Amino acid sequence: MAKGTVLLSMKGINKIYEMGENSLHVLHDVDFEVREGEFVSILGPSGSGKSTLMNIIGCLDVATSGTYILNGKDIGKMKDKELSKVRNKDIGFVFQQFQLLPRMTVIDNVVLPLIYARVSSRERKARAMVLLNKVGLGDKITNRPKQLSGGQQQRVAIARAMVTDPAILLADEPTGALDQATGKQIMELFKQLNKEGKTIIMITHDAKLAKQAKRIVHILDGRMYSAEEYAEIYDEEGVRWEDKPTLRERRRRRLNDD
Amino acid sequence: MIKDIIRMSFQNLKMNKIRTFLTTLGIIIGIASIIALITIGQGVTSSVIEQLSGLGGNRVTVSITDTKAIPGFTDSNLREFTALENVEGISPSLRSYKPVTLVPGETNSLYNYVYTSSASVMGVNNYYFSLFAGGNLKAGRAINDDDVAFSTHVCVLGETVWKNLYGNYDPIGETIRIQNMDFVIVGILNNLVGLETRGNYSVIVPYTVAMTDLQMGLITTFDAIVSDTESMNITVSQMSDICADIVGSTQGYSVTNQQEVMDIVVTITDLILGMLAGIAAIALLVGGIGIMNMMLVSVSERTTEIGLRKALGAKPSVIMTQFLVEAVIISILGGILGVALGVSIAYVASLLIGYKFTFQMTTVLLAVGFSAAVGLIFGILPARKASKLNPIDALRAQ
Repeated sequence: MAKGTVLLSMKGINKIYEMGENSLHVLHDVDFEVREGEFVSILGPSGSGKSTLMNIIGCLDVATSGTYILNGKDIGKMKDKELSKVRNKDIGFVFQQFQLLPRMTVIDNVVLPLIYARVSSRERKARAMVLLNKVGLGDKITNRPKQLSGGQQQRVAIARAMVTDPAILLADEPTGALDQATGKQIMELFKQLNKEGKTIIMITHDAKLAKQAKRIVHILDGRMYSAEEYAEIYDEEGVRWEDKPTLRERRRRRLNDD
Repeated sequence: MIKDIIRMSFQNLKMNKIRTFLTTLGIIIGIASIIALITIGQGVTSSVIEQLSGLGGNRVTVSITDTKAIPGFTDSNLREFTALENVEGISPSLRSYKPVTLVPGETNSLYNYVYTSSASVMGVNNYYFSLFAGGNLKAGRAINDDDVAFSTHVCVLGETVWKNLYGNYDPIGETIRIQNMDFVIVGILNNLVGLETRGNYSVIVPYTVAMTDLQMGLITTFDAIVSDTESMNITVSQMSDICADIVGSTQGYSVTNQQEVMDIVVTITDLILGMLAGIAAIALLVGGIGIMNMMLVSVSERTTEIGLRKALGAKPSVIMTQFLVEAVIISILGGILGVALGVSIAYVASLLIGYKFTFQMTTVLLAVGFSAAVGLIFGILPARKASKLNPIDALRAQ
């Protein structure tokens, strides 16, 4: 288990969507903890509730019940305005589709969170330059996102996510829109940032990608499992052990078929 | 931060130049028509009032309304009015159509034949010139007190009459004939604009000559000039008393303070102006709706952007401000261009119609302020919509 103070702590998180008479129970009593300096993958297939979980971690949405403490702040009781502040200061988002504003230059995209944090113009530029140099794009600051390759765009997005020095870097399928080689480079960048002390949570459906992180948690049907718990219930292909026919059964079936 | 928001708004508006311009056009047309109508209206009104007031709001019009009871004021009647302490003088006038014959003179080489035309003959004294013609003569002199006192046969030509009879030829010293009496031309009026344009078509003679020699009857109406407007009411009642004496009744005459007439004119012109401005305001309203429409389109186009901005920490109020700022920029831009266009229209109109062009800074500031308010009001709905977008749905929209 990783050391360091607990940055993120979720206890008994439930998310229920009310849709008229029906209600959709997306998350069931999720307990989740992330310590400073960790690199955690949340692995789950589509429909598992991982996007909902990401939205709650990212303070884009609030849980129906349960407690969520992020960086010492009780998120569950917050209003829109306060959630905006938390997103700005404590979370750095990296999206699958990069989500850069096409009309703005690279540097203007990177400084955007600092504008909302009311940082002075000079300091904004200085901080953005440090990060753009770090991701290797110090010479592209006046380009428009469309003039960059996918990998470069994602680097800009990572620089933007890092610019407020957030407590957590929250990446949602960060290599989903990239080819394998570029995706690998992006993962290397994440690993490097983690080595420098940045806490990273990555949401993915790709087991191979998830393995790049130091720790994997699984999410399935709105329930969360540690890697050990998951291994007890499911095989590597995500099939329940108990649903798997034993060797004897298989032989019997074959005899019946013949 | 507001500086950054304004910068980003300009960036956005620049990206859609044509759309921004077309949206602005609604405001431009609205503001331009309001400015043009108000400026033209104010110019025309002030010109009219200037002419109406003459020497100021110190005139009283006295008329016999029941000419069956009494045909009009005699010259000695008029002297009763002039005798009043507070009356500076009176300006009587008589009017009638008469054939006017041009007499070939020694210096008149253009016309060496007898030429007859019909013109309105007007009997006045020198007050007519200061009151209506603004003391304004193109050439020569006005009818003076001596002309009236001695019934001199002199005349002043209205501009149109002069042009009809003489073209551009200088007629001063020439003679014209009315009812077999010769009148020496002593002056030409300037072209009159506004209410008293009849002078342009008239041959103007001393009223005493008109009453006696030309047999144009008695004076039925005249204007009195009051020297002290403070005691206007007393003077008006004194005049009413004199009229009652002359007519022998409390009815059949009217004594009207010109200030009252002017007030009525101002009220009416203000009303018409207000109505026109109201119609123009409808154009502005349509412009405002245009802004709202464009902003709503912009909000739905930029759903992802709004979601992203929210994810990056923009508070709802910041998003709201950004969209409001965009709407206000469009409307202020339209306001400024509209003012420029409206003032230009008013200026050209002043040249065409011929009134004095005035340009008031308050109108301009008011118009720009008003257009900003339109942007603000019609920007609220789209801006609120943007600020209330759920960042999750917004990010998913892509």
